[in-house]
Formats: sequence, structure tokens, C-alpha cells
Amino acid sequence: MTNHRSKPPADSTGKEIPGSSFDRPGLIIPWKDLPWWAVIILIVGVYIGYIMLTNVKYIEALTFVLDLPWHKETLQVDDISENGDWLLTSKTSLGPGKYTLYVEYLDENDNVVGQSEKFNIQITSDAIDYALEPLTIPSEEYITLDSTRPTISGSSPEGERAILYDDFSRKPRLILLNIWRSDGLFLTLRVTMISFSSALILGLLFGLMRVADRSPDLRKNIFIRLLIGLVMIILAGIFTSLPEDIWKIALFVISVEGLMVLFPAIPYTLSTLYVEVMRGLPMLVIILYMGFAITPALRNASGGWITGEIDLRGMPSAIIGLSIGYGAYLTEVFRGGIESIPKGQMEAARSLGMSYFQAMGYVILPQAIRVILPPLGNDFIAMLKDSSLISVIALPEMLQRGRLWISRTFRAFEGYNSVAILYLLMTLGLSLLVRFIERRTSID
Amino acid sequence: MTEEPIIQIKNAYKNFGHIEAVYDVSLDVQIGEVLVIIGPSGGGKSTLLRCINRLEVIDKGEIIVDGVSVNNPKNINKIRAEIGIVFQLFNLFPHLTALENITLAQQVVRNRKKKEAEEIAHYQLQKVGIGEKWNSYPSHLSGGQQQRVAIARSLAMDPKIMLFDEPTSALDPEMIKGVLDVMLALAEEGMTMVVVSHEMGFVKAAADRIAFLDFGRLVELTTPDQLFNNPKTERTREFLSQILE
Repeated sequence: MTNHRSKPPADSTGKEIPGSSFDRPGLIIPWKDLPWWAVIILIVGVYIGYIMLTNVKYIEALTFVLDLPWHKETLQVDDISENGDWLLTSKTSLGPGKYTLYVEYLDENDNVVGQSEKFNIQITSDAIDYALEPLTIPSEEYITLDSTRPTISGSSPEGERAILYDDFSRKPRLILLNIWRSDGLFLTLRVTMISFSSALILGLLFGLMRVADRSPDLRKNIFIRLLIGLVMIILAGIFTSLPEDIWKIALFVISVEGLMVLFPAIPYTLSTLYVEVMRGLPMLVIILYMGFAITPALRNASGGWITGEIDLRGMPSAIIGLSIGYGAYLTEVFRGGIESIPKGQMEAARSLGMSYFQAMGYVILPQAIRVILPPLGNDFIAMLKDSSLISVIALPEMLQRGRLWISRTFRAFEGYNSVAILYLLMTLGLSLLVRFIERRTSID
Repeated sequence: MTEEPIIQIKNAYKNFGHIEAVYDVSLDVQIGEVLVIIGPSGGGKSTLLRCINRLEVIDKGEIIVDGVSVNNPKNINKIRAEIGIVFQLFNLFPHLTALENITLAQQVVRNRKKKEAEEIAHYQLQKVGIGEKWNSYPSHLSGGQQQRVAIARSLAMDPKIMLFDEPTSALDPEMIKGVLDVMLALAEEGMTMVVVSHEMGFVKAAADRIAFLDFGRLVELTTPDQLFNNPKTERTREFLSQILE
């Protein structure tokens, strides 16, 4: 008994199956009957985690891949002059409110040197959008500022460059926004989520088309149509009087007639074509094609309108590529799910007066979703892994960030280990989540 | 002058490949009449029944239900809402409770408010004798209970006609009586019913007329008395002797 949606009434079976009403729907890890090998894996996992989180190189790699820190935003970086003076003006315009700005000094290897300086400022609501007199003295009190571009100057005993950043440690909304916008891990997640959502929509649409009526229309007027086609061929033959042209025109007319005859089956034909083509192409080819063939071609064809008004370079083209590629797999998943529901369900729904789409939406799909949840979860995990392929069009997702770090430090071992462990954590977490959802939605 | 029959089947033909499932069948059903269709398996009984609400499309001929031709597919959903059908294998929606099974089509097709639909559903469940099972999923119900939910689901749409496609042949013997009682009560209320069934108890108690179908052909259409006591054809006699044993 795994019905958790509502408690079965006590009188439905006469007696309650022991433990059924206390069945733990939310239990992901069955601690009670964990096998010995799982315990060993768990201990090894904790040990590896401990090693990684205490090793400075791993921390550096993970920080880079995760695009940390999230609680600050760089406003300006500038070289320090020879006599040690510097002047920094915020590149971005800050809105009204309280800010904590820091100035840090970096040496030639980007390491922080010396003492960083802290400036608390408050920007008024009627502040103007250009730089005013620079601030010079660090302050704990909030200094009221009439400019949305804070300017700060000072002098430093050491360091090559000065960096001005906005620290919003106490503003969780901004931190979340920064996490969402960051590269590395969260770019991977972002691309995967958006692509999977659109692939789901594509899969559902094409899946519905794939279970649509596939019978060619042989009932109405087919002979009349073919007769008209024959007359057209003969007329065309008379007028052109060239034998090879006759065959060309005949072929054209026959293919048009063929399409007309197939008309009710066109949704089926289209979706089958889509599935067979897209499923037959490697994901890497689709992404390269989207990034380096389709996007430039669209830009050329539209006279720069696409990539001018609509920018398809980078992430959008990667998302479109992944969505189209995985849409084909999901189409087949949806088709299988819909076809696994007995025919009687559709008949019962239709005989109650529901339209085809009402029956689909209220009766068939809710049941089909339960059937296809495991393969959907499977494809989601596969897509998460395949999102690493978008590094080939130079998007700074996890793998690309890892490779950047490796090319900077020449520490391939730590770099790829960090990437691998992060992927593994995500996919393991996801498969637990899928199992959880499956348990929640299963019907007896 | 008699009333216009609510179902008129005029020279209906239906082929599945080379098999003639329905061959030149013409019959009328009056309002409030209970017509039972009997015949050997593969005789076209179910096909004829399913043609009435266009689950199967006839190849030739015409079927008119309540003054509207079923051949014209334009407002088929409207016609179907007026025709309840009960299937051999119940076809309840397994992802919905008994109550939700009954309220879904009311809300979607009849545009009833949820509360109103639930009141009707409770009433119909009481009527078929399983009022206390409203919150059970079909998988928790016995076959007989499931079939009664299916009947309640059709009745909740306020149909003018009820079709029964061998409603008891997938049930255990002790479950059959409950379902037949519901059908008998329905017949007594004056519901127009077309029933494919070999339950002779039901036929004798409720049937106004009996149609005997064999190889898709309407062999005999007469009253139960006539059929049992004085069958016209040799084929009917043979069939009856087999099932009345």
C-alpha cells in the first residue's frame, strides 16, 4: 500500500494493514535497512569530503567553479599610481539605500595585500548620476552621499591594483540574485532547468502529435484528386513538350498529391521526422551547430536583426540546442506514457462527453505522467551531464570554469576532481529526489 | 400517433476488414424502453452498442439519437453527454477517487460547480448502494463496487439513454446481483436502456424487447415471451437452448 495522497478509509478493506497509515512517504534514505556497502560508501564519501574541504587547493578550485564569493560585486578595478595614490569611481550606478563598500589592494598575482578599507555610505533618493568629490576617510558611520556613483580615493603603501567592491552580506535577496546570476555550477543548473522545461513542453507537444491520428485520408475524393493530378501532368506535358520536364512536374504533382492525401497524418509525420532526425544527431553536434552555424546564419539572414534585437549568442543558443535535442527523447517518453494507458480510459472519457483534449488533459496525461516519471528523471540527469557539452561554445559553466582554473594553476587533478564531485553530488541528489517524487505520486 | 423513437438505427453496416460486425441492422428504441441484445460472441452486439454513441463509426446507413444524426460528427460530445455507457471492464479512472470519478465529467462537460457536482455524486453513490465508499480509489474497490461506481458516473450526467456493454461478464458470480439490482431499479424508473447481456434473470424481469444478433445480422426482434416460448428461427432456438441449460 503506497497510497499517501489520502488515508484509505478504515472500512475500505475492513482491516488496516499494519504500519500503512504510518508509512513514511518522505523517507528518502531508508536508514533502517541500509546495506553494509552503503554504509562503507557513505563513510568513504564523508572522508573524501573532509579531505577536499580542508585542502587549500581544492577549496580554491571549488571556489572558482562555484564562482564564489556571492556576497560582493566589483564596482571598479584600477592600477595604483607610482606614488601609491588611487582613485576609484563606481562603474555601475547604485540606487538609493545603504551600502558597505570595501577597497582591497592586490599584488601582481591577484593576492590580497595590506589592510582593506571599509566605507559605509547612504545614497539619497534624489542623488544624481555622476561622480562628486571623492571620499577619503574610511568610516563606520553611514555617510550621506548625493551621487549614485561613489568615488573614493586614498593611498596605499603596497600592491599593484586597487579594487572597489560592494559588500551585501546582510542583504539575502541580493545574494540570492548573485547566486542565480553566477557562472560555474549555477550556470549549469540554470541552463539545465531552462532547457529541460522547454524540452518538456516540446516533448509534450510532439508526443501528443505522435499519438495523433496517423491514418492517411483515403476516404474523401482521393480518386478525383489523383485524376486532377493526372490531367495536370498531361497538360504540363503538352505545354512544355520536354520529356525530362514531364517527369519533374509529374514528380512534383504526385508529391503534392501525396502530401494532400496524408493531410490528417501531417502532425504525426512532422513529429516522427523531428524525433528521427534529432535523436540521430549527437548532442555535441547539435550544440556546435546551434552555436556556430544556425546563429550566424540567422544573423546574416535577418540583416543583423537577430543578435541585434534578439541576442541568440551564448546561452540562448545552448539552451535552444539542448531543448531541441532532448525534446526528441522526451517526445518518445511522452508517447510511450500515453500509449501505455489502456484504450478504455479514452473511450470512457469520450463517452461521458469530454472532447479529445479534455480527455487527454484530465484522464490520460495525469495517468501517463506517473508512468513516465522514472524516464523523465533519467533524462533530467542525463541532460544535467550533457550540459557540460555547452563548454564547447565557450560558456563559463562548471566544466569550462574548471578548465580555466586548471589552465591557470596547472593542477588538473584537483580541478577535474572538483568538477566530477560536484556533478556527482548533483546527480545523486537528483536521483534521490526522483525516487521521492515517484513514491509520492504512485497509485496502487 | 406514437412518439418518435429515441434511437433509430437504419440499415447500419460496419466491417472490420473482412468481418461483417454489423450487417444491415435496423431497429428503433422507444423512450423508456429496455432493449436487450443477445447473441453469440463475435455476433456484433457490442459493436452495435458502441455505434450508438459513435465509439465505432458505421460504414453505411444512419443512426439517429434523440433526433440528431450520429453520422454527423459536429456536436458529437453533446450527443455523448446524453448517452451513458457502462463498459464490461468498468474503465474507471484509477487516479481519481470514486467521488472524483463521478464529478469530473459533470464539472468539465456539464459546467457544474464543484459543490453541486459532489452533491449529485453522493446522491448517485447512495442510489447504487455504495455511498460510504466515496473516498476510495478504484483499486480499493471490488469489481462489483467498481461497476456500480461506473453506473453512478454515467447517471450523474443525467443521460436520456443508458447503454450497458456486458456489465456483469467480468464479475465474480456473487458480485453480479448487486449490479443487476441497480439496473433493475433503473429500468423500473423508466430509463431508456440498451443492454448487451446474457443474464436471463435480468432479461425476464426487465426486458421489453429482445434483439438476437448473429454474424452481425438482426435475426429476431421480439418480446421476451415470444422469444423464449416461440422462437421463429432454428438458430435462435439453438442459441437459447444453449444458454438456458
